[in-house]
Amino acid sequence: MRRLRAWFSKLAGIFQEDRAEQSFAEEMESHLALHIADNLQRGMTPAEARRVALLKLGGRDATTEAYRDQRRLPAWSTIRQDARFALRTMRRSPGLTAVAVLTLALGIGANTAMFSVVNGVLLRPLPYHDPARLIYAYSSSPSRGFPIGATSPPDFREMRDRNRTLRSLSAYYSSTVNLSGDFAAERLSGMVVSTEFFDTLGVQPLLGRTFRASEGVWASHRVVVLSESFWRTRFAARPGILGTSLRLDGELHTVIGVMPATFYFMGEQQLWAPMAWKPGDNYDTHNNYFLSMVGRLKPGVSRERASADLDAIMAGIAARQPENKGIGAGLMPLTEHVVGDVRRSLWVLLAAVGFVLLICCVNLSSLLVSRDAARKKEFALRAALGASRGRLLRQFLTENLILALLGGSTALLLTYQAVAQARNLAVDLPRIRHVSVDTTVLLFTLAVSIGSGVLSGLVPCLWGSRPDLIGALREGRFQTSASRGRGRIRGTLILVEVALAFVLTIGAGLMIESFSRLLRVNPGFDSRNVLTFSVTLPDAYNEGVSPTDLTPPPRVTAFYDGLVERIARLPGVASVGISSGLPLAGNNWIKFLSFEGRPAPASIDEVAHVLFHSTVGEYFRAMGITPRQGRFFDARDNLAGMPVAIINAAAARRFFPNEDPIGKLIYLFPPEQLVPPGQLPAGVHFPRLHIVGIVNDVHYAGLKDSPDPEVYAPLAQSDSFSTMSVAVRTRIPPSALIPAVRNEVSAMDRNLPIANVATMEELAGQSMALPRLHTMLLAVFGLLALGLAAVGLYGVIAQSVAQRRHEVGVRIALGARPQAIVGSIVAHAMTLVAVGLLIGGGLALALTRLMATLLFEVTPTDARTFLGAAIVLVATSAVASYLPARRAARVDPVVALRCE
Amino acid sequence: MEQKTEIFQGTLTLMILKTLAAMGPIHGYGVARRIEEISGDAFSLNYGTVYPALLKLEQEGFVASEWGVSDNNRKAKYYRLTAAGRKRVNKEAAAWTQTTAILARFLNMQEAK
Repeated sequence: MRRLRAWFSKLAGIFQEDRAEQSFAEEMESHLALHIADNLQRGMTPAEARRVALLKLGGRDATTEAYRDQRRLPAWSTIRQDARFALRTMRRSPGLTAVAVLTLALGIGANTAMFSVVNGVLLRPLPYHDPARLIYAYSSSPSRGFPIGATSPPDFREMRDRNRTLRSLSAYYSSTVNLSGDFAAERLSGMVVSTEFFDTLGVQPLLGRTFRASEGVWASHRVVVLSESFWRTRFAARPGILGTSLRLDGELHTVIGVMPATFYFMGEQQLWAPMAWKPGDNYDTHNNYFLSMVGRLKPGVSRERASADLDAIMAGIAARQPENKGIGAGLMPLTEHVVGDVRRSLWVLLAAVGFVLLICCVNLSSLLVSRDAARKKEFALRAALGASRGRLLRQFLTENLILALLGGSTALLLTYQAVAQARNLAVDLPRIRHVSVDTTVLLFTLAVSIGSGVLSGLVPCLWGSRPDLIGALREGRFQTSASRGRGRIRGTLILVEVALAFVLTIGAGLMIESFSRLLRVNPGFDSRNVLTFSVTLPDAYNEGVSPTDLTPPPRVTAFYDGLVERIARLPGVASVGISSGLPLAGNNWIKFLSFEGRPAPASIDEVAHVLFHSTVGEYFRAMGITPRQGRFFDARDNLAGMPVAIINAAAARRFFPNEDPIGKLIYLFPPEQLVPPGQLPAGVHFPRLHIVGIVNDVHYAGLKDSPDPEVYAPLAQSDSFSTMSVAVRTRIPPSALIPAVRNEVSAMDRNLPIANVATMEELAGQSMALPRLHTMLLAVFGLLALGLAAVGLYGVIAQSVAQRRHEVGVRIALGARPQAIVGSIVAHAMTLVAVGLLIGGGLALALTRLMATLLFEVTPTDARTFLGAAIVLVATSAVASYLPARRAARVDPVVALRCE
Repeated sequence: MEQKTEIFQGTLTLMILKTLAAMGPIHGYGVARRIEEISGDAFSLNYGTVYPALLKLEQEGFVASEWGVSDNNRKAKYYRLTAAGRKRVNKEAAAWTQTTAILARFLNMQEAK
């Protein structure tokens, strides 16, 4: 305790150095004056009085020094001394210092930038109250092909009301609304949430209030909470916004609150609305799985227990409701759901960049070894004069730490730049907009700087602090060949460098290979010259329609038919079609599939599933989807005509392996005998569709996923969805058509905005953005590693050759051919490279497995990639060692011998 | 040359503390003089060693110091015991008395013939 206090007092003393010095000097003066006065009183002469006083004190300097030692932390004075010495050493060789600092800055900068992203995306807690207890809950039905899926409104309500393990459970789904009224019609992205949503997350509004339970009831649900940015940009942050009304999807909604700017949840929303269902709404049934759930665990409840709790409730529902058979529930930490699959790729990238830093350290090490070789005599001398090994080590470390801290601070500048860039990346990376350089990142930078300083200093340290006194002093300037110890250190450094670079090159190679395969995937559509946008019809279009109707309301059909007709007439349009989902846009619907004339499966969870798209007009032609057999939809396929369907090649393969699908009859519903009694009104039957055509497969979900079985049906005969996407194939640049299509839409309905305007090429680009970024980053890291390794190798060989100048000169004088000398030097280097490749290869075999999920059609141990990377490394190292070897062999023996 | 006893390690601290306890606030030179006087000049005390020892006691919080003016009107730094210092003097003095008493008994033992 007392010791600690003394330590702190010493620490504080660092900042009052000058004052303490002065104060003690005064104390000495006063001491001497008192003593001299006493002595004079005893009858001494003034000179004697002074001499005795000084003598008795034990010398003024010695006392001051002893006092200083007591005042300061023990190492502080030597640290300062070391630092001053280190700075002098660095000033003496500014070139080497610059190279060292830049090398470190590059390595550390790349690491901190990457870590900022990892920190912002993965590590920083979510901005909600006690985020560790938040969970993402889901329906789960492995047998139906969705291990993690959305839930239905009745299932959600039952889980919310009956669970005993969650403090609160709420549901949400993303939705877009059309804002109209006093404003130009605009499409807003919003989230419809159950009323307890904000309480579950534990967040407070900036203004007003959030939802009350009563607002989850139909007819009292017309209230909204706005986001801070929407409130600021659209309503100039007017405090009076509360209580005003907005016309959303044609209905007046009252603004009751504004959320703070710090609040975000799953993407960017402009507003939140309470979830309420009109009695008899088809969405509010066990057949519609579209809700996500977020919940908060009760204190002391484990995720496993809560998961089992929800699963048991779902089992109870399934026992009552046959259509729920086989659907359970599960949950995961909310962070895991938010971060999703990028976790793995970010760690891989961070590891890769860590390897780059290791190579930087190795380079720096070999640089320092060469420098210290020149200072070997200095160290030997200091050791001979009594410097302890620890003292020499400490001085080494001080030098390296100063280098590292300089490198680290330069790296921080790079990081700030990189982070600003990263935030603006057009990449769908969760939370990327919230990446910043915070305290954690600064601490990381400090730790990495110190770590790399110690690491890169360790080798020269251990080597330099055990000087071979006699040898070094005797050796003098006359060096026969590189001393054996130094040669071994250099060899090890080359080895390590080659091994690390090999691992990175393999990683980069694997990414490049899999990316190029991804580029070669035929997406199944032609993305050139296609403009797409989406339209959401308000509820008013559905009025007067019974939920049990199996075909869309006439007003909806008429609207889309009319829109297709109008756009087709625009100049520059080749063909136009509408679909309930576009490739790569992430809006896909799934339906049951059953077959006429085949026995029904035993239970509903064994019924097949397909992707479903409802289309209008010439969707296939507009999207460039090619036919394989049969025909496309045409004007015949209306409400009066025979119900038809078109399937894709994958569906034909899966469901009709040995027969011709054309003319076969299918239902997009389960077999009627499996439907619970009472759900299907008497006399009503599911529509029976004739397969009239087969089209080629389209990668709807993404290029990485293999195409799923799909069924297309004309909108007029099947289902409509509130949001439909329009595809226009143009003869002119597609974006030139945007104003014209916007006009056509508002000509049909003044309050209807268009949204998600994008060319198909942009959509395709977006879907490739993340893999492209991963590939690019790993390729850059790989190249960096290769470059650094080449420079390091070159440096090491050049150094060792330079120190063998005399030996080479003697050999040449004795008749050795220059080629033989080049050969021996290169061969020596390549032996080391070969060992490095072996070690690196082993390491790569162990490590690339971790990136398996990032690869596409390439195994992590792809022999071709390994071989290719090895060739690249061997070629690079051969060049890097040949250049200095050739220069060495060209030496004039007379000069080489004379210069000693 | 006359024989003078070297100060045992650690005893200087106790002497300083005891001096401060006995004399009240006093400057470094006074402490040194006092120790020498009390020991009957049996110690060869380097006056300089008093200062690091005082500083250590101050860092540990047993002693406090402030600048003042001496009897003969000279500026000097005065040291005084803190409450913690007073407690320590009593404790250590008791411990030393005990130790020396035990040691004395050993030293007075009759050697076996």
